[in-house]
Amino acid sequence: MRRTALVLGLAMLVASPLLAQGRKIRVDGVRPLAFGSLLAGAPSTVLRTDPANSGQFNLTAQNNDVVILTFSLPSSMSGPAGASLPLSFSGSDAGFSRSQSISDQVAFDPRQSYLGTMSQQGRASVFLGGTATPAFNQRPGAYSATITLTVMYP
Amino acid sequence: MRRATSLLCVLLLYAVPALARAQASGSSRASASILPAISVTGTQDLGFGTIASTQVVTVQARNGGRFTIQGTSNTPVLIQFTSLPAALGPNLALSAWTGLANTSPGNGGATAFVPAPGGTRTATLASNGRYFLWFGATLTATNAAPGTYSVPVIVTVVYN
Repeated sequence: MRRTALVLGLAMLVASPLLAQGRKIRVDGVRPLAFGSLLAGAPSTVLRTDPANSGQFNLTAQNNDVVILTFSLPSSMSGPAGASLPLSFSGSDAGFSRSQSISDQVAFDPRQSYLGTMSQQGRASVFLGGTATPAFNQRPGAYSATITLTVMYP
Repeated sequence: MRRATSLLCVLLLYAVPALARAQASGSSRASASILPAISVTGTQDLGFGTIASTQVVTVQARNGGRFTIQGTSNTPVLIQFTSLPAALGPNLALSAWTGLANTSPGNGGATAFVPAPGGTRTATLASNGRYFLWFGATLTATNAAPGTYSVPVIVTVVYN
């Protein structure tokens, strides 16, 4: 009996990481949050409903499962010669879509974790907007930053 | 037996966090490009020379005033003819404005257009970010007083 319990326990210990790995979960950044060409001193906002310029992440997880979404958001974009361009996000700049449709989103605050429910097919998309605020003396050139979305099971 | 059960529980406790830790991350980019300011410089005046107090003089655009525009390469702009004055002074009417536009500094092969005061024109800056405009007009002097006259011609250019 004792041996049986020990074997069973060890089996579960070995099996548990495998279970975790087997529970599919995946995030793909499919479209960048693109502000395009901006003028110094002229703020620009991209809406999460913008089909061309909003950021988009596609999620794959277990069918109908609840997942926790957590963004790692930059406060600025890096540019030429160390210049930085302020970047900000408001309370409804992110959208969750079970149908993966930009026209069918539930808004949420990307600055806080959000609970979303995957579709029956185990898919969903997250859309992201934001605001870039170039200074009046903003150095011309290309700017960029990395946005990371982490998805996990509760 | 009790010991085995305890061991099993401990092992299960280890197993549960492993299940909860399943997560994935994906990255994307935020990007923007800051355009340099556009400069518009009057590089040649529209000069009618010395005329009689009553005379009509026409200066063709190719010999007229020139503006040089400098901005971001290959970028569309909107050109507004902010001020194409109707008079150079008392009894000195300006009319029949004409224009030429080109991406190179010479006006050979330039595109002719008719600028309307307050009107606009779209253009795309050249690969070196430059664009050139020439303006001509007709000056009608009707018993004008002797003197030297000048009036600004103003063109405004914005990214489009």
